[in-house]
Amino acid sequence: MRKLGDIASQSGQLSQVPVQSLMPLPAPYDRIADLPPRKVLNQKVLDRIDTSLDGFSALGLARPQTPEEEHEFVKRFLSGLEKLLSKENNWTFLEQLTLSLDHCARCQTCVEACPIYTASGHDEVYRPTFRSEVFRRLMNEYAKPGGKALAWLKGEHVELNAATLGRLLESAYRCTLCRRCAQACPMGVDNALLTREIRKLFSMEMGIAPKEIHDKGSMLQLRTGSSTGMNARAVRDNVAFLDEEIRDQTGLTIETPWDKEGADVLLIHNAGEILAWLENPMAFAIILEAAGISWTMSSDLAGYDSVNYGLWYDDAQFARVAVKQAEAARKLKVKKIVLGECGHGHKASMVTADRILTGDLNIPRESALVLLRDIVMSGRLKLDPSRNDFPVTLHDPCNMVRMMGIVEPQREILRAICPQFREMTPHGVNNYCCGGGSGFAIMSGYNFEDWRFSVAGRMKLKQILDAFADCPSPEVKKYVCAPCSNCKGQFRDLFQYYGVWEKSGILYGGLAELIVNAMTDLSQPFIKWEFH
Amino acid sequence: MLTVMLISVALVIFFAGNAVRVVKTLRMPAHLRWELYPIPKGPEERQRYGGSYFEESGWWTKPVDTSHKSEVAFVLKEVLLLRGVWENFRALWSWAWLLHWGLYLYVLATLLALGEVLLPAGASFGTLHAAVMYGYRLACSLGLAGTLGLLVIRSWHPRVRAFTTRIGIFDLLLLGSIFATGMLLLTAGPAGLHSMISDLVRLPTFLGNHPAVWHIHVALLTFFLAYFPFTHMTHAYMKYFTWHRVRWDDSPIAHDPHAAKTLAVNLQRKTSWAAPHIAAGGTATWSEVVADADGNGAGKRA
Amino acid sequence: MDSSQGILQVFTWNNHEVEVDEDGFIQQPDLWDEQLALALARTDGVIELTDAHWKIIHYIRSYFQEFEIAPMIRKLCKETGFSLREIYNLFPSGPAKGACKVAGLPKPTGCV
Ligand code: SF4
Ligand code: SF4
Repeated sequence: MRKLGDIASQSGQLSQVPVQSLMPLPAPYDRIADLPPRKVLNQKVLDRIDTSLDGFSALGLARPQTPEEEHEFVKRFLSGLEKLLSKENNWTFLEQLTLSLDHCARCQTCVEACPIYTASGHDEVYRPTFRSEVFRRLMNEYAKPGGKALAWLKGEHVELNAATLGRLLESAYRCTLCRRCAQACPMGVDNALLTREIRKLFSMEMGIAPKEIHDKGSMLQLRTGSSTGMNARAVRDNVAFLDEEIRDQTGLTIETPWDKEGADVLLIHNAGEILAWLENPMAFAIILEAAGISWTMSSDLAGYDSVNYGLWYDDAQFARVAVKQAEAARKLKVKKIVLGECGHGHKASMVTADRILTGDLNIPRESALVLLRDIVMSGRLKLDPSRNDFPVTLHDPCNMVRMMGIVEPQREILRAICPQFREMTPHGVNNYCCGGGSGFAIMSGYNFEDWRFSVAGRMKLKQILDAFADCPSPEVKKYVCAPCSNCKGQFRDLFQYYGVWEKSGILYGGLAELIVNAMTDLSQPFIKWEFH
Repeated sequence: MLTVMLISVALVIFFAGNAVRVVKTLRMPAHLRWELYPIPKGPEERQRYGGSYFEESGWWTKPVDTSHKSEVAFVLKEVLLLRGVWENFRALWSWAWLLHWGLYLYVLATLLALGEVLLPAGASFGTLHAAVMYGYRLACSLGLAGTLGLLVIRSWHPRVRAFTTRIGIFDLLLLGSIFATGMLLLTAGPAGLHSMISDLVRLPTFLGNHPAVWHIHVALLTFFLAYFPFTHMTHAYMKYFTWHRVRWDDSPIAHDPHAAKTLAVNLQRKTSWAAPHIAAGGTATWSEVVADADGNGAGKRA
Repeated sequence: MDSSQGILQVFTWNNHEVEVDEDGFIQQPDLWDEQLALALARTDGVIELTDAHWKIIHYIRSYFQEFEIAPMIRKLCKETGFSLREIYNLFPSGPAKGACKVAGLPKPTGCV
């Protein structure tokens, strides 16, 4: 890509994202020849879907086949643009949107903060301001009075055609909404917010969103109760299995309480934990029981899955899920909701939904990290840090840390129970995203995974390897503590792609597992050091 | 006379344009929260690492921090030192800083000049006059240096080059020529820049005696005043909104007595989002949309 | 224009046709039978389905029929008596992308 207007070019791909240009990784990950080859899409697929941004596809958007189809596509986009500027349709974010549209100085102060742009070797299609600026110019030119003339006058004309839209849409799925760039902007302009508004327009006006997030995500959650498709019976069956596993592994008899009215705590996990990282909900059950907490889980629709994918792409879906979750808690008359180790679930429920939930729906919500910190610090559990005497580093999930300021509780715990805890650089509110944010960790269609691992997760992988630079050998088992389901999903896939477990002996897992691993009541170590 | 009239019109546009922008923003619907840490609020210990009240258990029972001390400190660093640019784009910083200080000083000198005119004659006249003179001199030198530097960066620096458009260059040229003509005027003797305000206020009928560059300077200023409210340069005050009302607005509705009413208004708004899972081609209120949890299209029957 | 995401492909076997997604998961679990299972297995390089394969497939299917979702992997191992490694030996693409696909389940969703 040479200039911004190329986004409208009728043919070709704006970038090839050459492997040699990507930010180098430390040895032994620096040998390009050792990397898994990129997936080659077959010609039939390529003919139908739009890969003209960078050769990758997150959505598998079908290209319009006729001029009429293209016209219709553009027309629907234009009506969406206008709706974004209306109070009726976008009261939720109108103020933030206008502020970010109108006050960018195009100074590019923000761009070096972006892990995707920098790890890609500064590929211009991933510059945080690229999609924002295209979007801003389209808005100014096509949705505001006198826009056409002004655009020519200002030299900011952008051609609007199906190619522009296909690329704009895909580019909105090349940003993890981590908001690192927003922190750097001296004007308070937020490129991530603009990314999300682009996604919203496509989803809310045109019904276009990645199927993992919409059809098989928020829609499935509203239908079955969970984006995993687990209905109430399935989740109870699975959690009963976890109780059994606890018995088999630790000898402890725990029966997870369900739908207990008046409990102090309603614990809502990301339901993916129950299926894919069961150690985490198991560890929670063990800790809460040992600490004597009055808690329950809910088997109501959405009451057992803290995810709210609408946070990433759609305000209607967002509000629906948020309300359902709050209703489940209200029904049980719990004192508070505690959100398990799920970053976007934290932010969705505690922050973004706050002004949607009023009256008796606004039940106090607290982070599990805070509850765990209080339990660990209270001395109610007998913990022996020497059981965790292996190198541990901490990943900061963007949603909990940069967007909520939950920074220290998890560190207080790790400093207390992990003698070899070390920070990554940078960390805390300045952390880098895992590369799986905003839905990427669950998106795997077409060749999107190649992009997710080679570009989006690149900065994080380097950071993790650097944090363990003093003990690189795979013989030394190391642990990345990632208190977020989504981040764990990204680490699992990222580590597998690069063979990190085999080459470096790095495992990932949650925070609660480390606590249970340090409990002297258990005869066996809780962490199994098996990569999965 | 014409000059004064034009300036008056420009001033009206300036104030009205900025006021409209502010009022429009103030009247936007109560939006969802979208804060970003670090936020300069709360105990200092917590601010050091960017922590929030969410780190406390039972945060909803604790009093909120209402002190604005840290916010003020933050804003001062941003305004006076351009901290964000310093930290993230050093090559741009010196020039941006010069330009901003040029503008600050120009405004300051103008205010002082106004004071000079309005104050009863004799009141510490000498010092004030000197301040105006040196103020303008410094303002124009810094501003001109800053603009020239920015023009170079904008046109050649690989980080910004591709994002420089005609309008960006125009804005810089406009500012640059204001500072440049100001510089020229400074050497133009008693009718120079430092007496511009007094000339404008006191002797509007004799303006014809001024040199051409005086008129160019005044014309550029006039244009700038009328142009300013329609540019991104309004960030000068709109930052109040981006920071205080978005980035730093972490106030939970647990503490807001009007929340329910505001939300009720918003939920009664009618949406026409056309996707099949929302209003599906018709319209529906937001509360109908939320109630249609299966996403069958709340507006379909319409 | 079709703006729905995910392009379905048609998988043909024994003159039958079923729709599959881009990862080869069939879209309508009801259309599954043992013949189709074999055909799907072959797309993953499994030539014959042994009793061990069938044990896993039948467990997955019956769980799916009861709960409308795939069993969690740990449970699958426990109930069928196979270790994860053994499952990978039988289905090289693994339990989710291999065994569940052969058993005619849709692709797993959500944060898993
Ligand atoms: S978003 Fe902010 S930092 Fe980035 S170019 Fe715009 S004004 Fe500059
Ligand atoms: S939000 Fe994060 S990923 Fe997106 S542009 Fe900004 S820094 Fe890059």
